[in-house]
Amino acid sequence: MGKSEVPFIEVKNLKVHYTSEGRKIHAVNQVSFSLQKGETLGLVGETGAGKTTIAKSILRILPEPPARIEDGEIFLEGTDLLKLAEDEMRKIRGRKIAMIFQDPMTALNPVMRVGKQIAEGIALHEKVSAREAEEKAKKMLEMVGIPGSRYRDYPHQFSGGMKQRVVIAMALSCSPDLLLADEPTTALDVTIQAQVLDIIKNLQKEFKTSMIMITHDLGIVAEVCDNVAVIYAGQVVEYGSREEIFDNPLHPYTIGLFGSLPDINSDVERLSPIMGMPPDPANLPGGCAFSPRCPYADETCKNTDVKLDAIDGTHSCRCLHWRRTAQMKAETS
Amino acid sequence: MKRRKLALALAACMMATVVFTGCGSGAKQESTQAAAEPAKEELQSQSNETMGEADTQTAISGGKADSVTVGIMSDPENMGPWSGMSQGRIAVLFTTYEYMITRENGMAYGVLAKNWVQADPKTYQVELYDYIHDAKGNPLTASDIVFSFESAIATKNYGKLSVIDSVTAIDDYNVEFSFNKELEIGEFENIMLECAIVTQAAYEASPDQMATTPVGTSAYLVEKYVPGSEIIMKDTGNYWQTDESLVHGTSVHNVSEIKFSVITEASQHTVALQTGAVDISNGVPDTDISKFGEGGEFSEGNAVGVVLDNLTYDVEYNMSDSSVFKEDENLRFALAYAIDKEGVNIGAFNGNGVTVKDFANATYPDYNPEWDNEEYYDYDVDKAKEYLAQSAYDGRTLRLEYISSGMSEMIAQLLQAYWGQIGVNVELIGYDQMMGQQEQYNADGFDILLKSTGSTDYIVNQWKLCWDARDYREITGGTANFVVDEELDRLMQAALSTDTYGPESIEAFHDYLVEKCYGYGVVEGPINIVHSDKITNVALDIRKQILPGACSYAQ
Amino acid sequence: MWKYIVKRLLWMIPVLLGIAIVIFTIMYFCPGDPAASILGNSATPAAIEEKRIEMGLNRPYMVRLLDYLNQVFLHFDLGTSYFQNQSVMSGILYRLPYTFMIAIICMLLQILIGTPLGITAAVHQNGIADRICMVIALAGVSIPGFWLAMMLVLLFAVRLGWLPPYGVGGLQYFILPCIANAFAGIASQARQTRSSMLEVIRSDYIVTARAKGLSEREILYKHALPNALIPIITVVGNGMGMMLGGTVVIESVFSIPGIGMYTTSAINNRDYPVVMGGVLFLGALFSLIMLLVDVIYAYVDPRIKAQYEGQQKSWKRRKRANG
Repeated sequence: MGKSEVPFIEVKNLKVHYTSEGRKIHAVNQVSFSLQKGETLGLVGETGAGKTTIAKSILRILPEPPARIEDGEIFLEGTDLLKLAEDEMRKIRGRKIAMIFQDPMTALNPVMRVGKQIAEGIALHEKVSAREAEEKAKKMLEMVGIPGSRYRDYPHQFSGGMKQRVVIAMALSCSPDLLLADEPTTALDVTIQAQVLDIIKNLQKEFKTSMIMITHDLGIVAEVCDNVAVIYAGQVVEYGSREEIFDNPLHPYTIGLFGSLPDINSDVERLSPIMGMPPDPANLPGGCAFSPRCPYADETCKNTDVKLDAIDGTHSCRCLHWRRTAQMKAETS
Repeated sequence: MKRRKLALALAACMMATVVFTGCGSGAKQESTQAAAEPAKEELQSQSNETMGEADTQTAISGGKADSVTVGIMSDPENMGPWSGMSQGRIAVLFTTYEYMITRENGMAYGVLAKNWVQADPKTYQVELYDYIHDAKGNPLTASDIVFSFESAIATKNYGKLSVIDSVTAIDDYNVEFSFNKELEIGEFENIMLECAIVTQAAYEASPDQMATTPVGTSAYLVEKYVPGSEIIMKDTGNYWQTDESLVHGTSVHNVSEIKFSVITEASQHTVALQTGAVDISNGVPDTDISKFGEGGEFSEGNAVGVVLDNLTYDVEYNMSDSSVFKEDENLRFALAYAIDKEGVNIGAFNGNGVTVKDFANATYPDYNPEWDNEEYYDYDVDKAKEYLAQSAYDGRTLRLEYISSGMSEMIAQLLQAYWGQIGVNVELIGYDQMMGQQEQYNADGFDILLKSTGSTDYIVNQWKLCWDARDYREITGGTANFVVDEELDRLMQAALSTDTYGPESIEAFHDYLVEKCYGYGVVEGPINIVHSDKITNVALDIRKQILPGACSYAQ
Repeated sequence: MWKYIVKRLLWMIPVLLGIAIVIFTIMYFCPGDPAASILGNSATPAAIEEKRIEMGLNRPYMVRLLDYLNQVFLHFDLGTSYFQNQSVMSGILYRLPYTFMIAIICMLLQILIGTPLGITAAVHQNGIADRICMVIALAGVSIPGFWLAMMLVLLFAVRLGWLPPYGVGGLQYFILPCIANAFAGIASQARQTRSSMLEVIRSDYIVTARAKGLSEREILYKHALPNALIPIITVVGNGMGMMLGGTVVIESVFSIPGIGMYTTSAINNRDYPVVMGGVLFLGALFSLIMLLVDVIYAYVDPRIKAQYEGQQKSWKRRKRANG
């Protein structure tokens, strides 16, 4: 999947489940992927597919009683994060890996001043005095387009978009090597989305940060990501570079995702969403998890445990019939 | 689903237990509080009784002690000579002040008064000792008597003093009292006992009208008062009456220091006696008394004195026009014969009280002992049922009203049970002290009243509390329980008037009342005083309060 | 902020006026006669009537009400007790220190024991510490104060003889009453702290803090607790107010002359001035405590402070807009 260099971050066979009311919810089922330094990987999928769980597993900030990392390895520059002691992990959080969350409205501590929340991380990870941390925090605020004079304001004094920018400033304040961005623009209006995305892109370029962008918005993927992993029911169902995925989606789910996008140019009365509902993670169907909804599924799909199949280059697909799909596409175009 | 149902069931059980134990502890609280505050009635009772083998006279010459601690139920709050009645106040009253006279064993003795004479039907003259001084040393003369009485009258706290027309000092040691009517039997003595005496000098010197720093003529002076907590009184060593033979019950001072400890919670009295924090108390709840008596777990070093209270528990029928009892004599008798008085005694007092044969009781000096041999609605269920059959009782529920303090509640329940036995349904209505005092004059509010009444001197004066229509006519049209009966009035007045008072008039009234059955007595209860062996003889005043100074102490 | 405080203080006046009118009316219509109480059980109706006239109890309602309001609000005189020869105010002031001591000590116990207990329970949810904490909380709520007080007396005063069973005096007299009284408070404090913390611990900003790499301890005390404080402070404020009102049961069991006993026995005696004065005093005290609590809120949660100040600002804005 990756190039021959040692990947910056490599997730191998990650398996995570939640226990709720005695039922086991399989959130992540043997997910593997890797990332090079400076690259951006997009994790695409519907809500509940397990994308956030993957990100939180990397940082090991899953709520431990209901959640449990059953199996897998997560290598950061060769070190398995899952085997680290808690205090070692703490040194990595915020420093080497940082996370931006989905809902800016609740991501900030409402009773602590905004500047302090940023400076807190700085003071924790870098051996600087309080004064210096404050200065650095102010600089970060400026970098995301918020005047440094607002250092002493409280979160409720900011709009949603500005709050998200604060969160970004907080995440990047210690120049992390990896940024986990969990749907950072979903909760914002469209006009602000573009702004925030720009800031992320610019900062990423400046600090040479690798990024995992979790999103369900293919537009964002197109703009920001180098590689894409399509997640369905806790599994990677298709993986490839941006070009490979956009030009030649081969998994019926991926095709469906593109298909359900409204096309500006065509005059369509109704959108064509993917039929059916995502599976209940506590009760996954046997065989291919997508088969109940797949228009091309047959008996073998329901019974066989499907593995990722390499197609060419970095492109791989978890479908028994990807060849047939490729052929169908060739015929119709 | 199952788990949820289980959780709900458990929650319901928990709530039920909480409710029931809550009720229980609430009731417990109520009953301990009830036991704790026997009504703020003037426990009018006969003479100065003592317990144990020794009689009154030896109490005076009994052993002395350095100090004693008395547990009392509530704080006196205001120890001034003429302030309103309260439970706490009567507990310390006789130790703090003296009156013109005192009563012992039915006899009146002068304390400040050397002697007195009735000059004419409406005038008395009293001679004082000429060497009286109060606890601070101020000499007391006739003008101080005048001052005390006039001040007391002005407070309007003493209805009995309203018959006084004027009090004048004839000379330094002689006072003349003139009244606006002819006094009845025992009335003069009661008036002499109504007003605490202080010197004008001491009273005016006090910043708060002696509320916290009383100065009487007794041997004791308040040394320390922590409101709500304790009062410490010391023998001044300077008591004015140096002639020992003239020192009577209430003035005896056998102990040098008296500490009154205010203990508001009844069960704490038990604790106090157990730990020895208190030497004597009349506040121990009935349920704990046996612990200190023979064979009880704390009988070592302690003793329980039992004396008959002078309150009688009486039944009074509502005799107003709208009442079922007004015309229905048979119903009145039916209920009277249905009560097993001895049963009530056992049920309420474990047999420690006595049944009575009159509206009042046998402890009065003018009680006729022959009544003990006569019938007095003696328990007879068949007779009761006969009367009931002949009556106009229509099966309705009768309301029995009582003041829910002390044993009244228990007695009311027993009465309810007895009347239930002959087929009369009775509903109980209990009121607190304040409500009860008001509701007893509400003719529509009850059918039967259970009251406890008593007097300090003569039997006729206890009768007077219910049957003297002159006192109640304005409110009820007749006696306290609405009786309009000229013959009753005539007999009552005959028994009270000094001219006609005597065995005959007493007999006449008693017989008439028995015949008419407007009301009758049931039982008389006991008072339990728990004390340590330090005290060999307990002395009580006329209100059955402990007189620490007059007790005798072990040597 | 000052304007807010002043506004609240001014609001207290109509509140107290309302309390005075209500309590006066209740006592007026309450059956029972203080004159009869003063004169005793064997007083004749005539004597009682005379006493009533002397006490001014026969005047019409409005006259007595206006007289009372005039006395309290214009002359700041709470009146004189019918029974004691003492002004109500001095009676209250004499008893306030006792009640205050108990209230303060209990409050401290409540905060110092209850809060850590609740935090521990929340942090170790469903663990041993949580179970123990919840059992203690259940016990505290279920055990009647009266019973607990007597049990403590029997154990420590009677059996062991270490502490006095009742009364007032030095500090040792306050130990048992405070323990008995604080128990329920500690329990409710622990429960409130626990549930408040549990709510907060699930918040997104806690995840953010963790993602920053802060230690659990820092997260707890710098991020979780400050946010959980609002309901906790409310419980403390309420509890303090109620305790200052006087805990009648404890005062009764231990014979402590506090405000609770004062007002309650005044009710039994129909000592109107004391009852009304006591209620008014408590009302004023409670209002002040609530004000204090609300001011503390503002310092704990800046959003609330903004709310208080915003009310003026928006008023000013509207005024300017309307010219």
